[in-house]
Amino acid sequence: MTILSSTFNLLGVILLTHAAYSAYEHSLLSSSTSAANNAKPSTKASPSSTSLPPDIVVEALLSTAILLIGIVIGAPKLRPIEWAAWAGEAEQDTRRPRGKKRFEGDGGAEGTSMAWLEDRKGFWDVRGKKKAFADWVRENGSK
Amino acid sequence: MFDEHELAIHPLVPESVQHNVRVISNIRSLSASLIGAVAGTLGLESYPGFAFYLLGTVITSLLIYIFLAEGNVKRYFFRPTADLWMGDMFGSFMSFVLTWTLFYGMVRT
Repeated sequence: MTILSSTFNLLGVILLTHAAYSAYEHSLLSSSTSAANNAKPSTKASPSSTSLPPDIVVEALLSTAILLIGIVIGAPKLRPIEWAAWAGEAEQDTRRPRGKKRFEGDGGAEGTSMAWLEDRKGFWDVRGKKKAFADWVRENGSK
Repeated sequence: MFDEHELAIHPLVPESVQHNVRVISNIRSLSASLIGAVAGTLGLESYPGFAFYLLGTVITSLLIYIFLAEGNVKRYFFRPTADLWMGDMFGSFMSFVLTWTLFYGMVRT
């Protein structure tokens, strides 16, 4: 995803730069030619009203589309907002290897997942405690 | 009332909501300045420029809908109309105007 999006972004930036520079050159050219034309009485158009050639327009629009797609693809994944869906994904995420986690980076899946349930204390061993207490009583009584 | 019960049964994760809002607003501000640059390069003035911004934000929303939300808006946004379609539409308007005027001034000498 990141390689694809950076390719898109690079291509879009190059196209946009080229389009902007071409538009700049075009405005420079048309202003200089119209200044030359101004010597003659028959001038057609002022430099601001000359329109861009269609290939620059198409290039600029294409670069916009490519850059928009690149930006959206390169953005971090959205997270499900419902607790049930989120917890399921976070739980799956803890089992993925380190490089492939979906929620890696800001925050991560820790904290919200149910991992704390894994190392909680078990049930109290009543029989064991009773036996230990009986041993202790017997030890003290024998002294 | 129904909303409260609904929230009690299906609770939301505030961190996820924040994360989604942040991602969306990042995309929006980036794309707004990009659209402004293109509008300035094309030499749009007044109403066509604003129409171009509207068109660009709608396209951005559609791209988010297709690529990020994968068509399942309810899963990622609490209020899809407010958060995805309309929400930040005019929040990043100023960065659009900034790059629009900048590129317009640079290209038209």
